[in-house]
Amino acid sequence: MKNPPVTSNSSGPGTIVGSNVALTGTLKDDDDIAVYGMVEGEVLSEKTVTVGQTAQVKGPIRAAFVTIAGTVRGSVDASDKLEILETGKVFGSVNTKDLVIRSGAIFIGDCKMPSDEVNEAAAEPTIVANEEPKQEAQKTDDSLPQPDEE
Amino acid sequence: MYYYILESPTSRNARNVYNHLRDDLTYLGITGEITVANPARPAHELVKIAIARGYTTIVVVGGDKIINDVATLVLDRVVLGVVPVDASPEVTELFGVTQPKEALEAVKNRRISECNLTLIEPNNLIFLDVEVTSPNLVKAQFVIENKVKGQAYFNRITVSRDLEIRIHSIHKVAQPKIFGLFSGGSKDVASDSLFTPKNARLITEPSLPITCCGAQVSQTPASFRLLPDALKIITKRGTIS
Repeated sequence: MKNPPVTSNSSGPGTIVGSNVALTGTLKDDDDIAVYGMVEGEVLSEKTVTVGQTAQVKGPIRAAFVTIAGTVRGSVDASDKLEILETGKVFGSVNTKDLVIRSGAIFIGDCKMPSDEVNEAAAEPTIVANEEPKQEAQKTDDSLPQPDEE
Repeated sequence: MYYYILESPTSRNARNVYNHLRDDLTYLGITGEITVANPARPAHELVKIAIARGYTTIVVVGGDKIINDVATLVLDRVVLGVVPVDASPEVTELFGVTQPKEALEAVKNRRISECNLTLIEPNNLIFLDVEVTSPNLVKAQFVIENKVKGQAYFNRITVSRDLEIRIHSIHKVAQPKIFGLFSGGSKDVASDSLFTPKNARLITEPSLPITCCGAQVSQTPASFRLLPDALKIITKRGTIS
């Protein structure tokens, strides 16, 4: 049995930490990183970090895309997308603009989305609330019988 | 001028190539001094002679071992060309040639590329992959970029000229008993790791030989350092289709 494959936006890993490997320190790579073993420390990539089912990461993860099928104890900062698969366990805060948590996954911690998205979401209902009553009021006026017609 | 180093022919294929070599070189206009490596005058001595005589291009005709021997000696002092005879895909893919005639054409066209080498401190260079193997699982400790410390159990570690470190292991894992009574046997679990640092240190317990093409080149513990674009090689010219 090889390291179990995990679906991700991977373009081919630059670093693979196999299931029989334990690392301590900051693991940094410009290319993809796939972890199937134990890592104690930061995991940093410009592209994709994949945490396999057998993996245990104790430390923060930062990448564009993060896919988690193992256990992560630390914050996860995924600038583009974070996906926690069925077997994934995350104990720590996450920060991403696109979050997928599959049924069966465990996530204990805070979740932050980028602030511009939050502002947009907050602003939209206010615009709708101001416009709707005006239209309704016009309709109500039109429906009233005109004195001239009578 | 070219300096040709030929491996002692060991196969009919090699003898065939050598028989036609002089004619082919004359036809292509890339003649030069032709020498044959032998136990009395091995490849490394011939390389020294070539450099001392001021040759700037050495062309090796032969298989993996002699190509590796020469490539790890010339560094950036001369340009290396090859005419692979019974060579592995690792060599033919790098130089972009598989057949001797194709290789001689490439030597004539002289497209120079650069490739990385890895230094095993203090003075051994890696051109073709080196490996550390053990039939049983052995514990290895490694330090990457002087920052990341790691340990692993392995059966085979290979290190390439680009300082790609691959750690491979296979171990048996007992399967759960069927109905709690019958043994479920065991299955093999393989694990592969890949690291691509600029420098690394490898320690094994016990110390193990580092081999290339079946010959020992160093032994653990060992420090590795990447030498970017350290070797100039002649590769096949690209074609426009």
